[in-house]
Amino acid sequence: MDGEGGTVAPQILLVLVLFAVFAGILFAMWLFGVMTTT
Amino acid sequence: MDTIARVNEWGSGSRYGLVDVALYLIGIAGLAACLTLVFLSMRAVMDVGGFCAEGGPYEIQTHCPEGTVLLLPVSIFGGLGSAALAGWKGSQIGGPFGGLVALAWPALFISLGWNFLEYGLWPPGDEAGIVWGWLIPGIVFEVMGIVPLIGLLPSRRAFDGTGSADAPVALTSARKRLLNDLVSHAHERGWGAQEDLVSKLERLATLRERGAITSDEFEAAKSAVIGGSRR
Repeated sequence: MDGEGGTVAPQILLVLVLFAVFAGILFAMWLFGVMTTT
Repeated sequence: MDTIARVNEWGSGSRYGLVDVALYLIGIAGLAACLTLVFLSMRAVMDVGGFCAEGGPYEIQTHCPEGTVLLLPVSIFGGLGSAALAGWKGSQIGGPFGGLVALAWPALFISLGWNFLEYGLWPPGDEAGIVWGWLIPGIVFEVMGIVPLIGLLPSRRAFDGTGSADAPVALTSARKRLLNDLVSHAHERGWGAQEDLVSKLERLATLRERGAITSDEFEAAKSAVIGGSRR
């Protein structure tokens, strides 16, 4: 085939995945803080 | 004809758009968030002794830490949903991204196992010594998390190829089999000969456009080409 996987290169997608994991963890820590102190 | 349909299907199967990538990232972020919430909620419950209750017509000895009654079930079901989303979209993206969601299993058991180990070895409050009731589940959880993780690690080789999601190393055996199947089908049905026919016709049409041959000559040549390819 043409060798192009799609619209986002796998290297960029890997960085985005790591960013999503960190964003998810930070959001959960914030949410836990909000829910348990009110 | 079904060979061509299968070629198209196979090609489109490895393609993905920005929406797929966005949903995949939402699944990954949701999974990370839910795992973190389970981890934090578990610690909060363990801080009050490991057991708690809420609601119902009962005399409750230990109330649950505020927020955990809602957060724990929401994060468990949210985590399952996020894992399904990430697995679904990841398999469309292909390469190592489909299998990435499997890391959620070791992440869950190693992190929760850590909670058990920490509270078992260094119990909070005035308790002293080792709490075996927490240490044993901790060891079991760590084994359940670390053993599959060791099995998952070799899949990182998928990143050592050309870096493309369609790199040969990332091809599963099923894809390889389908590809071999397609090539043999194409040979059987004289697919290459059809390509040749199309390029001959295209060349003839170009000659006619340039005025090198007349329309009558073109028609005659065309029927000769088509008749010749029918065998």
